Amino acid sequence: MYKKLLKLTTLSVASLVLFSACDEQSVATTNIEKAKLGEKLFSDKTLSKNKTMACATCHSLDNAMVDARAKIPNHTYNVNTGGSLGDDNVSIGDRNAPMAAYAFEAPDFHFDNGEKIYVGGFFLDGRAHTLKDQAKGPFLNPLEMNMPNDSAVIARVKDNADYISELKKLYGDDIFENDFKAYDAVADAIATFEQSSTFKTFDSKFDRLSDGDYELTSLEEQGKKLFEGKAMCVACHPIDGYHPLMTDFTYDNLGVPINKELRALNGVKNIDKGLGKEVNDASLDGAFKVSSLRNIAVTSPYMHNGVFKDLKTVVHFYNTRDIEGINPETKEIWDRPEVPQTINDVELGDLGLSNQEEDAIVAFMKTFTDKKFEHLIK
Amino acid sequence: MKKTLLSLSAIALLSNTLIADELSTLKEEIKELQENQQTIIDETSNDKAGFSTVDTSFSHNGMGAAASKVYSSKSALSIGGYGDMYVKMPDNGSAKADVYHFVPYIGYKFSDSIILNTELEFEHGGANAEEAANGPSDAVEGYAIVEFMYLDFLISKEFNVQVGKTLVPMGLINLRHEPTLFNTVQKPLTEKYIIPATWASTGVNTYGSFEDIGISYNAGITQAIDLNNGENGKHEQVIAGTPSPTGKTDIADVAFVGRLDYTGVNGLLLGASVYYGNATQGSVIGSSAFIYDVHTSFEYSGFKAKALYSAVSISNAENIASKSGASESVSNSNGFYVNLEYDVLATLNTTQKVPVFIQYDRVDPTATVTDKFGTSTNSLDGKTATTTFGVNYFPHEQVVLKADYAMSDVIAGNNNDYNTFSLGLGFIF
Ligand code: HEC
Ligand code: HEC
Repeated sequence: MYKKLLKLTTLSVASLVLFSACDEQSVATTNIEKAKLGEKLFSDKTLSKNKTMACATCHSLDNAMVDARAKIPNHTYNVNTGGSLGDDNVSIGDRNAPMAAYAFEAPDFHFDNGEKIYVGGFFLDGRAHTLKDQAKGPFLNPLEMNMPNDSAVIARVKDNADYISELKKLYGDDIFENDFKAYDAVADAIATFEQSSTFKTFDSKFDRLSDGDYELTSLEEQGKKLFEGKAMCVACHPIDGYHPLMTDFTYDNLGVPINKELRALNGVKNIDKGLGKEVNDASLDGAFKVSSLRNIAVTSPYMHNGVFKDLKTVVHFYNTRDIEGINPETKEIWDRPEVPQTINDVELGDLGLSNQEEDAIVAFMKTFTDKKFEHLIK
Repeated sequence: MKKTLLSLSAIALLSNTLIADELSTLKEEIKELQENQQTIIDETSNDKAGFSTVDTSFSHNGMGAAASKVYSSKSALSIGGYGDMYVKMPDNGSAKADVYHFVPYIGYKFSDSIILNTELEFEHGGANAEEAANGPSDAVEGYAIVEFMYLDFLISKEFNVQVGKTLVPMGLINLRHEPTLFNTVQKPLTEKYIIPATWASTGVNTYGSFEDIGISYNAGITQAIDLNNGENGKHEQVIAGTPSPTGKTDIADVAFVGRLDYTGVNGLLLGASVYYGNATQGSVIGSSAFIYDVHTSFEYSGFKAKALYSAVSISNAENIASKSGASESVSNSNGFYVNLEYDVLATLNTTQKVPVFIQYDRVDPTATVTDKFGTSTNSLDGKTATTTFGVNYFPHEQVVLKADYAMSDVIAGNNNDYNTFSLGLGFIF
């Protein structure tokens, strides 16, 4: 026991010496430099096969971090349809590019033992378990940046002398010894950029309200009450606490219909099973990650396949899915869900909201827009 | 027993929100706890060791009466304990009943100068079989732990040495967390989120007192807290929930803890404590935690006042954020509370007590947060001011029934304030 006392004393003295000896600035500085490198990689079109697209093409830094490309000349494709056009100028994805801002806040993909549900992860089906894993995907996706393998990406990275010296400096001189390690470093730099202030400003009207610097209009206030109450949106898009992300990062099947217009363009025929396919569990077929509603007013189209173009349509869908409501965009009754057998009919489908109440909820959701994107609100 | 139940039902009737159901669970649970207590009494009173009643005015090195029992015990073996449970009815959510603590103290005197003292804690109804099978999760909270276990070498009034897992000698409630020693149903948030009562930790602690000048002290080295445990993610409280490591835990790094109290004037306590050490058990280099509090209490014929201020600062919190992957890590937090109490039976010739009280408690558990790039921002997360008023009834000095109404003002503007009506009971033996 007295030995233990002695050991503890020695340890404490040793640790006090350590505290004073360490280099205090290094971690933050390294992270800042990694983010700067990541920013360049994020916007670098040379890292796609035909050198036509970067991450920023589908996650525009000036356009709420979604695909906001203007109509592409001489092309049947239009970004408002849903999927994104790939680097080969032919392929069109089947999912709607989500907002990359605030995405890093998702916890890593895991199964919650208490709640018995899957939580977190990246992509709409959670198939990338971490932010860094996610960044490794788009380069190699044939529908996106279309590079054949990680070595090919690293070869393009090496074309740029600045990248070589920066990667060596930040990740070690031996980083290019193996392409796998170098590719991991590239993904890490991008992921670090995705955690920087560019991706989290927390300065929407909603955040200013929280800080006491904004007052809701009466319509917005009515919308907030409905959002938290009658419409039950907070059951999946919680807005309590400080700087809420408006998602609980869980997965659900809302019974979203097929995006026929998109499928006609990209020719996809199979059912998009979402999370169910990833975890090999048919009871989760059709479940997608609950979206953050930050910047929602400026990130049309909506849902995992971009089937709805107008924010009010989404609210009307929640309100009337189960009572043969009319889709205001097609003027027809809501199409059948793509995956009908697993839909959630507890918290949505028949909310009993009036037209004016739907407007109030839309008005409230507009307050979720970052200050720098407020000018994009139509 | 009957009296206890009668008074409890009287309080319950006053509150038209208390559901009959909960009352009967509460009754059953009181009965169960009292039976437990009786069993312990029965079992021990026949024993040679003997069972002594607790001296509620006795305190050893600042601890509560039941925790101090072994020090005044005539027999070698000493058994004491406390328990508390409550029903709370917030106006923004559903009512909840909790068998919060059942805590036996077992102490043993090897000799007049070598003493073993232990506290076993069953919280939220005890360990849960499901949790044992699946590992901890948010949904199942019950647990059983060795809250403290130490050997005390009594050398002189001025100098003694404790070795083992002891209560960290900070704040007012941490050392005195038995339910008869604080009047609110819930502990003030300042001594939950800033000083994470009940906080115990493994190390070596020296203590003593100089009675002629009214000074007592604690000074020791103890296992450092670990803020890099992943759960501390986003905008969570600084150290709440993390620091009472149990069983086999890393002891890679240690912290210094010290406390000084002045009790030279009758009824007055004036003191301060500090904690300084690595913030992450050494897993993150160069990030240290500094915690301090200043506290005072004053008692004068039925009147009691208490006040405490505590603050935490974590240096180089960006290193923790960078390592844990959390978007931010807390770098500063603070809180204070003031509690005033008056026993309305003070002037009567009775051993019963009916203190009425009011408390103002303000916490800012994430006053500043720092991201991995070293950028610190103010955060309102968890910032809350709570005004609580209520009444206690002590039918016996070891038994308390509590009722209070807490009005919580959530400072972040998008949050709705809420009020909570709570009933509780507690006992020590
Ligand atoms: C061709 C358009 C396109 C390009 C280029 C692209 N993305 Fe995406 N991004 C998408 C689509 C579509 C999804 C959703 C895909 C899915 O769920 O299967 C997505 C999803 C994401 C997500 C997940 C968001 C969430 O909430 O889970 C992140 C983060 C992201 N992309 C970052 C990047 C990065 C980093 C790059 C460059 C390495 C990149 N994207 C390149 C279209 C694109
Ligand atoms: C049961 C959980 C749940 C409830 C309740 C819920 N949502 Fe959602 N929400 C989701 C999921 C899951 C998605 C993604 C679905 C998809 O893409 O297939 C989503 C997507 C959305 C989107 C589109 C996001 C985007 O970027 O495309 C909007 C807008 C939205 N929700 C608004 C609301 C509103 C308004 C309410 C209340 C009327 C609400 N939600 C209630 C789970 C829910």
